Amino acid sequence: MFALSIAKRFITHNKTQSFFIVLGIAVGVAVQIFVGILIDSLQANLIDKTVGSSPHLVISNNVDTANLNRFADLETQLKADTRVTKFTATATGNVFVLTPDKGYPALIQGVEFTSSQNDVFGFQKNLMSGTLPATASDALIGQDLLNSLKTHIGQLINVADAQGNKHTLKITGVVDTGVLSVNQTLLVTDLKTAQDFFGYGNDAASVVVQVKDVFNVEKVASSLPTSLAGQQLLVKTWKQTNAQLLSALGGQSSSSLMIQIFVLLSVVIAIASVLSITVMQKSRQIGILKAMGISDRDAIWVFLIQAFMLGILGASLGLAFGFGLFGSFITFAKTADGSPIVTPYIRTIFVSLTWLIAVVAATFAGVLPARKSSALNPIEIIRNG
Amino acid sequence: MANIIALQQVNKTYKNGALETPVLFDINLNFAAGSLNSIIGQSGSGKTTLMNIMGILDQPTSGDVLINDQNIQTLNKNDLAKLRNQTIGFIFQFHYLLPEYTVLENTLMPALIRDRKLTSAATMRAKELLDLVGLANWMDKPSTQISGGQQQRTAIARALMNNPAIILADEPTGNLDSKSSDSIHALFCTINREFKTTFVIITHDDRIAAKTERIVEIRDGRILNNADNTLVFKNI
Ligand SMILES: Nc1ncnc2c1ncn2[C@@H]1O[C@H](COP(=O)(O)OP(=O)(O)OP(=O)(O)O)[C@@H](O)[C@H]1O
Ligand SMILES: [Mg+2]
Repeated sequence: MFALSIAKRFITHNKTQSFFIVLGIAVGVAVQIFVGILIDSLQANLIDKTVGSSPHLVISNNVDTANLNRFADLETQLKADTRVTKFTATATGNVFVLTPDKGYPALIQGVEFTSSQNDVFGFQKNLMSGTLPATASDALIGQDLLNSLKTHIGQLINVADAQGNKHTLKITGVVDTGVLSVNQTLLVTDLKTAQDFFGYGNDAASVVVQVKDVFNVEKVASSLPTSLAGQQLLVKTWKQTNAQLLSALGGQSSSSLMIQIFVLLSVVIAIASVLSITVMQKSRQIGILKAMGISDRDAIWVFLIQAFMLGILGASLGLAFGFGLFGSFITFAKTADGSPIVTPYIRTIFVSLTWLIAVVAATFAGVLPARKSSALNPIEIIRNG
Repeated sequence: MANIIALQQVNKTYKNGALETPVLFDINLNFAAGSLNSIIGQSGSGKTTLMNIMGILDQPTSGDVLINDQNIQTLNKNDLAKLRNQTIGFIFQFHYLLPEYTVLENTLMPALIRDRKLTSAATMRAKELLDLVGLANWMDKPSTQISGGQQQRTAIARALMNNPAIILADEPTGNLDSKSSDSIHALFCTINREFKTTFVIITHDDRIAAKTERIVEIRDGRILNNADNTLVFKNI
C-alpha cells in the first residue's frame, strides 16, 4: 500500500529521531510492565504465602464426631472439576512421640501421596531434606519437632496414641511449614497408615481441596453435593476461616489497581504527546504531497500508519525492557537469606493488554495530527516555505 | 484554440480574522491549450495568488475557474486532488522536494500517487525526464544532496511526470543564476513544443517573459496588459 510505503520512509529516514520516539514509548511501557508485574507478583506471593499451602475448602461430615464415609465418590467429582487443582482425603490423630526421658505431643496428619495432585499442604514444596513417605511406616517430620527429638532422617521413632497403641515410624523427610507451632508437632504419613492407626477403617476425617481461583472458591463449594451416602456434608471455605486476611487482600488489590491505572494514564499521555509532535513535523511533506494530488484519506493514512508502526515498535521494545527490568530486579533485590524478594507471577492477559493499549494509544495519538494534516491547505506550506 | 484554463470574474480577498485584504479584482483571463504564457508584475501585485487559484490550490472569493471547460466548483475534494495530480504540474520558487526521497523517487511521486503503486512504465518515464533535465547521473542521490539548480530541475521533472496538460511555474528560476535560468526556460520551450503542454510562468524577469508567446501583466490585482507576444516570440 502506498500510504504504508510513505509512512515507512518517514520513519526510516530520520532514524535517530524515530529511535528516540520508540525509546520514549518503550520506557513508558516498560514502567507499566515492571510496576504491573511487581504488583501482581507481590499480590500472588501474599496469597500464596497465606493460602498456598493450606486447603481452600474442607469437606467433612456435618456431625462433628463422625468420619467422612465413602469419600472416594467425592474425589471422583473433584477430579472432573477443572476449577479444582488439588485435593486429598485426610485422617488425623494426636500421639506422643516417645523418647527415653520424655513424651512429645504430636499430630499425625495422614494424606494421600498417589500424585502431586494430592499435595494440598505443599509438603513437596516445603520438604527441607529427605523424601516423601513411600511405605506404610514412613513419615515426614516438622523441622522443630526433629530438633527437639535430636534425631535425623532414616531414624525410627516410637509413637503412642491416647489408648496406648504403639507404632514405629521411620523418618524419611523434614518439612518446614513456615509456622512454628505446626513445625513443633507435625508428623505426616500416608493416608492408609493414619486410617489404620486411628481406626478410621475406610473413612477419612475430611477431604481438603485447593482451587485455581481462590477468590471464587464459593462457586466450587456451592457446586458440591450437600449429602453423600446418607450423611450431611459440611463445606468450609478458607474465606470463612480467614475473614480479616480476606479484607486486607481486597484492600491491597483495589489500591494496586489504582496505581496501575495512573501509571497507564501517564504512559498513554506520554505516548500521545511524543507522537503528535513528530507527526506535526511532517506536515510540510504532507503539504507538498497534497499539492501533487494526494487525497485527504491517504494523507490521514500516512500519519496513522506512522503512529501505528512507532507504537508497535515502542510497545514491543517496552515489553522487552519491562521484563529485563523485572528480571534484574529479582536477581539483585534479595532478602537477607538470599532468596528473591518476590517470585515472579506474570499474567499473559496483563502483558498483552498493556502492549495492545500502548499500540492503540499511539495510533489514536496519530488521529488528531492526521486530521489536522488532512485539513491542511498546501498553500500554507508553499507560502511559508 | 480551446481554452484549457478560464477565469471568469474572479475576485480574491484574504481574510485574517477581521482583517480583509482584497488582492484580485474581476479577473477575466483565458489560456489556450498548448500555449506558452508568462505573467509579470510587481511584488505583491497578486501573481502567486492568481496562480494558486488557477492551480486549484486555493479558491476564489467569487467568480469561476474552469479547467478543460469544467467548472471546478462542481468537483469534490477527491476530484480536485485527482485533477491536481493528473492535469496540473506545479513548479514553485522553492523546489519543495521531499527530503526523505532520492531524485528519482521524488520525480516518481506524482505517478505513485496516481497509480498507488510503482510501475516499471513510470520508472522508465521518470528516468527519461531526468535525462531530459540533465540529471541522468544524479538519480539515486538524496534530494538534499544536490545543488539548488539540480533540485529545481528535479522539481521540473516531477511536474512533468504525469504528462500534465498544464504546467504552472511560480518564479521557477528566481533562485538560480542566469545561465541555469536560461537553460531551464529553454527546456520549457522544448517541452511546450514537443508535448503541447500549456505553460503559465510567473516571472520578474522581462527577458524571460519576452521569450513567451504571451505576456500577461498584472498590477495591483488587475490585468493591465494582455499582450499577444506572438510576433516578437516568432522572431526569436
Ligand atoms: N494568506 C494571505 N493573507 C493575507 N494577505 C495575503 C496572503 N497571501 C498574500 N497576501 C497578500 O496579497 C497580495 C498579493 O500577494 P501575492 O503573493 O499573490 O503577490 P505576488 O505578486 O506573488 O508577489 P511576489 O512577486 O512578491 O511573489 C500581497 O499584498 C500579500 O501581502
Ligand atoms: Mg509570488
